[in-house]
Amino acid sequence: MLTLQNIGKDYGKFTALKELNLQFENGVYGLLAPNGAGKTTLIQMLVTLVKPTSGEILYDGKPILSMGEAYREKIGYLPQHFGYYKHYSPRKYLRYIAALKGIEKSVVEKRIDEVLDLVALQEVKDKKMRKFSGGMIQRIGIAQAILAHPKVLILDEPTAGLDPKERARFRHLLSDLARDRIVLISTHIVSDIESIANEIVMIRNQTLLYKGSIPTICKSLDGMIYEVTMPFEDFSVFRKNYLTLEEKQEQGNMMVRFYSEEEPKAEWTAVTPELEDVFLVSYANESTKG
Amino acid sequence: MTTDPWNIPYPSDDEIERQASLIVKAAYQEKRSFFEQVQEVKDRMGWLYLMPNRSEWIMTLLIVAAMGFMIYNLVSHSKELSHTIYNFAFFTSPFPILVLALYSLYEKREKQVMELEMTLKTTIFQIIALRMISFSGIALVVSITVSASLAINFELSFLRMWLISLAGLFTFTSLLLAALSKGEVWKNSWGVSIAWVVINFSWMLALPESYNQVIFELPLVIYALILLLAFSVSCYTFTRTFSRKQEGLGLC
Repeated sequence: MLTLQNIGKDYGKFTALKELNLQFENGVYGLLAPNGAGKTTLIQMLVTLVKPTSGEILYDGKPILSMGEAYREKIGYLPQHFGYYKHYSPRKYLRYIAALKGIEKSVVEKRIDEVLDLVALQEVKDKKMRKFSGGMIQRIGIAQAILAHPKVLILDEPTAGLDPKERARFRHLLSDLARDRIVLISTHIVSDIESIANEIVMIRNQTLLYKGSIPTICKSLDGMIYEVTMPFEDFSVFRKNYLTLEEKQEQGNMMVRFYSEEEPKAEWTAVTPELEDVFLVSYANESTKG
Repeated sequence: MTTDPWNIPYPSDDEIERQASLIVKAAYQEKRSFFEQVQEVKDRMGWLYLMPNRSEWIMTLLIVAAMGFMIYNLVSHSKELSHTIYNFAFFTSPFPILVLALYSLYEKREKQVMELEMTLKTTIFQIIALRMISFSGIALVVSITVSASLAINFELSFLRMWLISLAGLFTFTSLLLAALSKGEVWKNSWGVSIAWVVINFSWMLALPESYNQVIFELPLVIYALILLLAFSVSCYTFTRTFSRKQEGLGLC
């Protein structure tokens, strides 16, 4: 179990995170937040790169900063900007990572074959990575993260560069992996996690906004998400008054999905809130890029 | 399977003893000596990843070739040949390790691999410290070869030449390791390398007599003592770097 107790991080006068209390048990957690919310700082603290200014992170009750290699050998990490040696082949690169992770030499080759099978790169295992596509490199990143059977798997924007088929494959892989470990996926792509995450963690203004299951989080917007169809010319006025979440043109009209706390009008149809709605409403005033 | 309801299948005494010792061993882990830890990391890494890779070898060969070219130029233009060569030996003996260290850190930086490698079981400081040892080994071979060939070709004392170049090598290595153990490995390794070049050059140009005196005129036993001191400091800074905790340092 991974426990964050009153975690805070300041960079000089800038506060990156404040009073964060979280607990992770085995399962998939989606960390949703726009840029600048403190997502990367949180991840870098979980992988021991950054020391919190206040509070403590505990793994099974022990502070991770004092556990040293005993903690690091339990984590698998895919950074947002995954760096690799271009002149290495996947097999050679994974051998190198296996050496740094301290995997028993007798099982290395078998394990490398297993993870290359999982990420469907078996056929190119001896080719130089220089010529690989972004998606293939990302799969190598995923392969190295799961290489040593980590107990805590932390993936920062893991699906960047993957095509829809690879994304689906990746989701299945994570669901399988999460049975006996903590998997934390940081992303701003809601669809990547809504089908696999047991819980969602949302951060806003450097502190925890929500932590809970998707149905619970979505329930918080019950009766506030509507759809309405209107003539195209009315739409610009409507958009000024309401937070629109989705807009579609239909036979000269606009079909709009939107958020409102007002008493519903007759022409509005209440719809079931989805995670995407929660994300858009929560970060309505912030950039959601990257 | 027995049907006797009074029979309880206890494990044998040997099995109980074995299981108990396993539990005790897991609970009270043996404290490993520093050398055992170094050996363990070395075995984990293997020489393949501790020795220079192909591009690092190419850089080393280029540096050795450049040094050869510089020697040739110095020898052709120098009036006081022996002074020049001894000064050169002290000043340039750390160059292979300097270039290898800077180049390998540049590769890590340029390829953005530090963020991931700093979260793995083996620390970045253990890798750097062990690689410095292997790079020192290469610098040592280069230094012996260069010293021997200069001593033979220019009728100089091999022992003096060798002691001077080793003193230079280990002084630089200890300074470099001391700086690396502070973290900020990229900035600090550049700092030490530039400082080595600038201080030596400034001293050589501003006070050539005192530089020559230190390099050329001190008795051999003093060089042996300097070498011993530099070697001891190198060993100390190696242990400091190897045992350095990397948690919370950000990206080195």
